[in-house]
Amino acid sequence: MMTSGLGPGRTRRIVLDLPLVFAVACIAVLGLLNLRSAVSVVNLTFYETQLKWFAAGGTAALVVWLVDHRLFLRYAWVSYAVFLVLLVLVLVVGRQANQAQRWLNLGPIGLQPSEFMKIAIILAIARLFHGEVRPEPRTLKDFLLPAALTAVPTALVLKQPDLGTALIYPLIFFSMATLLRVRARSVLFAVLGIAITVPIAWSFLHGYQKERVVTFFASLFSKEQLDVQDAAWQTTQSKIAVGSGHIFGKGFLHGTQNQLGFVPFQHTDFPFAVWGEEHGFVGVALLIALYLFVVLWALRIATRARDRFGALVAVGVAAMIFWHVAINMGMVLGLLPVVGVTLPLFSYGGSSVLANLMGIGLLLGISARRTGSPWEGLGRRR
Amino acid sequence: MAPLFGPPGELSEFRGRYRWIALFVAVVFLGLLARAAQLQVFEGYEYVEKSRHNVERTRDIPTERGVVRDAEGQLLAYNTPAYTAFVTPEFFDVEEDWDTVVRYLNLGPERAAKLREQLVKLRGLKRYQPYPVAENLDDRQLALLMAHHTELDGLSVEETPMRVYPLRQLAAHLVGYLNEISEDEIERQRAEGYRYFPGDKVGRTGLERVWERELRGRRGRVTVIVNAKGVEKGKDPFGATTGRRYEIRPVPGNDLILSFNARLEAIVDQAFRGHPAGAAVVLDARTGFVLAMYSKPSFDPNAFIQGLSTEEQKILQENPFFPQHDKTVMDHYFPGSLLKPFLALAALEQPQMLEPGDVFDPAARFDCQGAYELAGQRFRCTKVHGLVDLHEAIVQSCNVFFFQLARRMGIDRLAQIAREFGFGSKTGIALTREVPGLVPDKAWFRSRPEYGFQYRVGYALLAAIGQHNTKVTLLQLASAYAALANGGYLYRPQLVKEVLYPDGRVRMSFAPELIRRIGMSDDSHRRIIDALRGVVEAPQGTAHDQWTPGLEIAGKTGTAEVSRRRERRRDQRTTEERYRERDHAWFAGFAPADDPEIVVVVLVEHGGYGGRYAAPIAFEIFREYFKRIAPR
Repeated sequence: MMTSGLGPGRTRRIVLDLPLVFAVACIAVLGLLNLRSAVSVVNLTFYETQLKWFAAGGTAALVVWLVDHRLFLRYAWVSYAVFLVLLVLVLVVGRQANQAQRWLNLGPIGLQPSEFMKIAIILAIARLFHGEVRPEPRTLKDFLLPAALTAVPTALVLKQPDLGTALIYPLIFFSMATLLRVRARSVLFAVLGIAITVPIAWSFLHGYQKERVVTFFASLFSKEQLDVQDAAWQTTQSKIAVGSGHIFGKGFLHGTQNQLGFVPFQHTDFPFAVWGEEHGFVGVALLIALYLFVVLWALRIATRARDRFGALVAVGVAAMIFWHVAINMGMVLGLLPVVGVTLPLFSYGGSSVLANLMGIGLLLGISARRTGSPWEGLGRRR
Repeated sequence: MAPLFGPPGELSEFRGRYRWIALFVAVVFLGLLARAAQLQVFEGYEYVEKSRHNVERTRDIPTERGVVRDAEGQLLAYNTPAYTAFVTPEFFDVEEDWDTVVRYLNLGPERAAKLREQLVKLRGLKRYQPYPVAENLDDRQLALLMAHHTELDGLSVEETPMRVYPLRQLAAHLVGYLNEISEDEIERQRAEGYRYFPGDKVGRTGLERVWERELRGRRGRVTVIVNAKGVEKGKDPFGATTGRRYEIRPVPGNDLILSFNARLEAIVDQAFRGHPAGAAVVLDARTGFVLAMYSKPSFDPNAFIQGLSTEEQKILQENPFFPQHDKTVMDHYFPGSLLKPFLALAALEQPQMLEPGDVFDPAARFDCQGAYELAGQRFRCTKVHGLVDLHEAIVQSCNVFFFQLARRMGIDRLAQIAREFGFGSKTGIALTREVPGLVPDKAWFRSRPEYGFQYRVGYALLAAIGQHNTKVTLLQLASAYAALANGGYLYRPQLVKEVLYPDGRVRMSFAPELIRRIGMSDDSHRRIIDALRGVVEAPQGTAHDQWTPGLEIAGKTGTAEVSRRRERRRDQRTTEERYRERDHAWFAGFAPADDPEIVVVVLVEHGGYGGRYAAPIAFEIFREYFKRIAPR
């Protein structure tokens, strides 16, 4: 069968993971509407720009879906190298905003290589473990290279500084590592190692980052509202926004906290606060359900992946989405300190939209080429 | 190159992990959901309340002050729409932005520094109450603020009523002016139950001050929706307001309707041309209502509203004629001969008071040889009058006659009649800083160390001609002459006829207020009136020069000596010194003489001889009054 690789009838079928597409489309539409409300106080051009990015991101996802992921496997190192260079470039010639140097100007558009680096890291780590098949459990030594692959961009991103993204890279790495069999002793060592590195990493944090973390932890132990300044103020206001949404919310475009400018960074870091205020607990539950579905569905795709690379990439993308959602929502709901982590497809930002949709494209591609799928053997070399 | 595809079994390493990962994911998301439920469902009401508190601000809003109109409806004080720049201390960065604001508003360095200090101070207490930094913005200032207001947090521009005094100098003392309330005063008013805020204007002088409670109205309170920077929603600095909710509706102030006549005041002002300083009062002789109150020089009250600069204050303070003094009530003067008719009346009414053996008769004549000697001291007369009776003594203003009268009556009787006519105590007109003047009697001299606690007969002589220690105000003279004219009805001078509600309904209406009826027989009354007519009509009368056919004016001239300090010889003195040594010129009179309608009192400071300098002004006022204000 399938000598030509294109069996008549079967191969022309389009294998598209409709539940995933549907869930992602739902999030995207809600995200765009929410952004429309969030930026109505700032500048509606943000909304229009975001629409364009979604168009670009959708196209990118389509391309990624159609391309056999073995191509990504082949060029995983290349993409990693390219984005690493770009991350260095950002530090040298990047554009600043909000006291952080995160953007590279490409003509009229600004790109944030740190966002794409997430995909590049997923691909690189997956590439690494794809080929290393071991019967026995792994030891710490086996993780030295992937840890280094994560640490270098993490350090570069911290330098920008971008605490949020610097958190995401290691979290992706750890999440992907959970798939692997590791010796129990090594896990113990790893935990010890982290306990030692965290204080060291702390010393590298910028003053305002430390301040945020401290005020956050202080607020956990004190019933009193601390100084209504900066980080604490942001958390307080975002909690008020979400809380005042009550069960059904204040209605689209009617969130007073948002409309009157009390929600900080309402279109980048806090769109979920706007959503919570305007659509209440019902809206929040719906959104959490949608993200939960996407993440679980991504894990399901991983279980049915044709190969190790696909499974690893699917788990990586799932981790990327999961950690973004968990940290962002935790921050908005006052469970975590304010670190700039975007809410996938809800936050304003072209690079973020593009990277997330490319991740979705990867999931679609892996899903389409799952074991037993008509696309499974597509393009297979003999 | 590593093999791209191994056997399917390679995937077995991952198996068994997915469900744990999924479980972890589900638990975390459920945790988020639980937290959302806590905030939104269980604590939801609390946060709804907090968000409301966040965006709602209660703000006190000013109301419109009542207007002041004269008897003919002419506006003396009203409000005009103007733009005021406000700074809300809570949201304004003084260090960062104040210099910019100063530049846009073109504030002087002195005022800028004062305001800056105030803003810093206000950060403590009334942080959310906008504080006015510049009023009556001109087009240039407005344009600059309009262009840049978004860059300046806490700066806003609002339309606020601005007080205008259209007559400017003309009725400045009377109407008074507003200026910014002091902190002490805010506290004082609050203790009495009136709410004022820093930056509020309060009546400082004149009617504005006395009638503050009526004019001010009641402040409203409004709940506004503000954004995170405290800027009111739906409100750009120049636009309309939306989303306001009145907690208390503001109540506009009440209006004052005066008896005062602005046209007459202008006539008085015109009559004073050529004289640098003086004052005049015109009263309705039948009611005591003020028709004109004039004090020269004056000032422009409009300049006071925003507060004068130090330089402007200095100019005002250094003016030798005290422009800020209302000379009709705030200063007292020697009345000079204006006191004589009251003395004459006392003699006519109570001849039994005179010393026994010297039967007093209105027709009795005294010989005036130009001076009167008492205990070796000479008390001089204006000239040698020869034999004069009471009538002639008033007509020609003979001092000698009155010296004798005073000596026989004694100073206590003199003081008694003067006090009956209201001298020596405040008239009680509703104006601030009225002085009572002084009517000395024996007891007074005996209480004064500078007179050695002794009374001497000579003091009565000096009091009789309105010198030495006798001091009166113009307003006292006017109401006393009105009582003399109308047969003894001493009315309290009043300025306000009515207080009206903003909708025009009458809130208060004021009737003439009789202080006392002074007993006098028709015969004495007639004799005094005749004598005062003689001053004008008789050829020897001191004001005969001014006699105008068709006008029946009765009155009295006066020339009051001012204290002189002759340090240098006459030819060495400066013009100003010579001016200051000149006597004050007086005229007090009423018309028509038989049925008096108005009383006019004129003082020309350092004018010289009363008959020559004050009488012409008074006569011009009479003439113009009967020609233009109340034609007969």
